[in-house]
Order: sequence, then structure tokens, then C-alpha cells
Amino acid sequence: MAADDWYQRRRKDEVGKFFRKVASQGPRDPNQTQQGHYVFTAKGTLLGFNNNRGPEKRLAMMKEALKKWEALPEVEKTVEVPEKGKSDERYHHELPEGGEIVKVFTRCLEAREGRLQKLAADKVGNQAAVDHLWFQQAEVEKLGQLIAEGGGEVPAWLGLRIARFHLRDNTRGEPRDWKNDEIKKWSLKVDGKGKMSGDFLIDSADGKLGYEGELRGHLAVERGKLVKFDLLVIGSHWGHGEFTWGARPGKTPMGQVFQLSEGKEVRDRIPPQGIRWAEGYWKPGRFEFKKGEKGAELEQKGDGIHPLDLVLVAAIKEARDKKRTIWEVRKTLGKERMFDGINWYQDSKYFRIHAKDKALNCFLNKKGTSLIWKLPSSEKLMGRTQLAGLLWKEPKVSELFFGEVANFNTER
Amino acid sequence: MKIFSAILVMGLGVLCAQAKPSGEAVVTEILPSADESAWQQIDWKTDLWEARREAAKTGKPIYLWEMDGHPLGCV
Repeated sequence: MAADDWYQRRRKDEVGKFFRKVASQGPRDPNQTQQGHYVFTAKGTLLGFNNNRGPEKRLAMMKEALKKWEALPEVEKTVEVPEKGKSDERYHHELPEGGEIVKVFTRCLEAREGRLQKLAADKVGNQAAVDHLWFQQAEVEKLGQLIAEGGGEVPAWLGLRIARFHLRDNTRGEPRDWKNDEIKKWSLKVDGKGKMSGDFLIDSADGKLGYEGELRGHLAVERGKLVKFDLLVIGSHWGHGEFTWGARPGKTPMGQVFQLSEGKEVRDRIPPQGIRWAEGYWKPGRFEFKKGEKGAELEQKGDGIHPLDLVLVAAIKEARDKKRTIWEVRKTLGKERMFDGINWYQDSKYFRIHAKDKALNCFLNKKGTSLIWKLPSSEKLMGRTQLAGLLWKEPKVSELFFGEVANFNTER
Repeated sequence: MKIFSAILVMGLGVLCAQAKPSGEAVVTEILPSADESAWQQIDWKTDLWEARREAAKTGKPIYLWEMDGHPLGCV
């Protein structure tokens, strides 16, 4: 059994509950990562744990655990496993129906004997890393349409998805997602025959972490299905992230191969590393939050309506129509899987809705009749806070939201 | 920058017009070898509940490899 701890330790469902029961018997701080190697019974009794990468120590732990297993009475070895129940969708992702999987292999390279080769076996990060790029069916259809029309620049959602979540060095650990403004240069074109070509430069603000290179490949779509997606990326990367220590100094070569997968094996259906915030993965150009602004303002980019907008509008409509209080609205929003909570700042008409580690800032106008939100800069944030600084003590939502919901985006 | 350009040319030089990664030397270097990916041939479960059910049915303990970043899909 293999699992991503980031999801597993957060899940608020039967799976998460069971895992936490097992992990709580080990040495890990329950508020920190739970990663490691566990051996336990189907009942949930922990028999062994370590977090050692050395195969000898891992094997020793497993052997020790097996001894404990052998010593257990039979009644401890069997259990009637109950129904799993509904999965916590915030921390459980599946490929959308009709979606496609592309495997992404990454390897640090070095020039030897006049050609690029994998790093020597004794070097850190010499092994290939794997990730998965996901497409939705409608997206594949759009790519097919682009080729049929003679080609052009691939849509921004695909370019940014590849650039932000898949062009990165994951050979020594978990890399962070790139931010939109770190994509300094980007081009990926496909021609009328499906040939792909492009180049890119990704660089952090301090210049300490980056990747630049070229992309070449070929894609084909038949009857709305992706039948080929071969992409080779050769570039030069530099620096390391918080969890990817051990990079070679300076700019060094790295290669990536993207290959279509039929997804037949369990290992091929692992969600993309970058899909932890699913909306950001599917619509990478839609929203961008500035560095260090956790829960800060939202920048409007791209097109379309973000699901947050729809859920919020629906919740406010319901609150208005049913004359609910703000606290009841809060409950309504809390039921939506993408909302972690909503904070109301008393004594002002400012509130903040959290989704994962992001947030929307929302305001009321002077009359208190409509919302002002999606503020693009901190300067306006301060101004609007002052503007909306009327005393507000748990009023009825109906008194505040009697303006037309459709006007929410029009007034500042 | 000159060194980088030379490396890039070297890597890209192996590409034909219709890139066919599976046949190219640099692609072979990047893709995991059979030895490297042997551990992936294990019939890994990714659903803890499914693993639990199978363990209960077959009378075996569960081994769980838990990592920040999926062991089968991050590094």
C-alpha cells in the first residue's frame, strides 16, 4: 500500500480516521507530517514504524513487525471491515470521466562522451522521477480542434499547467509549484500535423531557482481522444527548494519525457503532484496569489468563472431568500468542499472566505447593498476596509444582501 | 551560457522532426530502466480501505509506504 501523506493525514473521512488511528500509535507528532513506513493489522494495530530510507533498516523493521504479527492471537488478525463511506473530496482526486493521463519522467543529466547521459549511479538524484499530467475530455477536444484548424499556440491553460506544475526538478523530493509570474518566457506551438515546439524560461524572483529549455514533440487526437502525446524537454535547471535539497551547483542539464498512458495500472492513475489545489491545476491562469500573501487579495486573470464565485453567490442568494443570519451563511459555505471557512471581521463590512490556503476578500459598499470583492492590490484592500468600516454586529443577512447578486462584480 | 547552448544542441540534436521519444538515445537516458522501476511492478494498492479488506481476507498485515508526495507519483 502506498499513499501521499499530504492527503491521507488531512482526510476527514473513514480512511483518514483509520490512518490517524494507526499513525497515533507511532512516534510522529500528530500535527506534523506522518510520512514513513508502517506495518499494521487490518484492525489498526501498529506493529512497526520507521522513516528510514536505508533498505536494511526498513527490512529489519518489517521483520520485527512480522514477529509481532506471528505472536498475535488469531482474533487480532481478522476484522469485519465496515463500509468505507463517502470520501472527503477535498483530499481525494480521481481522473475526470473521459480524461487522459500523460506520464512525465524527469531525470538530471550530465554530458559524458559527447552526449547527455543519466547521472552516474553514485550521484544524488540520479534516478528518474515520475509525475502525471491530466487532461479533461473537453480540453483534448480543443487540442484536436486546434490541430484541425492548422495549429497555433497551445491554449494558456495547457501551457501554464505544463509550465507551473510539470516542468520542475522532482528528482530529490517535492518541488514547489511555479507561480505565474515566475514563467518569464513561454511558447508552445502545435502545427497542423500535431508537431509541438517551444521554449521556456522559469525563474524565481531571487534568481536562485529556475529552469530553461526547449520542448519538442508530437500530439494526435482522434475522435476526441488523445492517441499520442510525446514531448521531450531538454533544459538546464538550477537551485533547490525547501524539500529538494542536494541540487548540483549552478545550471546543470535536465531532461523530461512526456508519454501518453492508458492508465491501466494503479501506478498510472496517481493524481498529478500539482493537483492538491484542484481548481488551480485545472485553471492555472485564472488566479494568482502573491508570495507571502496567504489569504490575501485575489488577482483576476484569465477568463471564466471560478467555482468559488458560483458557490458564494449561491450561498448568499440562499441566505437572502431565506433570511438567514451570517452564521447560517457560514454553515452553508462550510458544506461546500472547497471552503475551509469564512471569517467575518466584526465592526467592519469586510469578510474573508478561505479555500485551502487561499482566500477571497469581500466587502460591502457604502450602502451595504452589494459586495465588493476581488480587489487586485493591497492598497485598495486598505482603502476598502476603511470605506466599509461601519459598525456591523451580527445583522440579518437579508438586510445586507438585498442588492442584486448580479451586481456583485460591478461596483467598487 | 555557451556550455548550456552546447548541451541543449546536443540534446535537441537527437530529435527528429516528428519527435519519437521512445527511439531516441536521450529519451532512453531519461526514462527509468527496467531495473530502476522493478519495485513498481509490485501490486501496490493506493486505497487504504481496499488494502484493509484484502489484509482481512488473506490474513496478512499491511505494509504502508506513506510519503509527502505519492511514492508512485512524485519522486
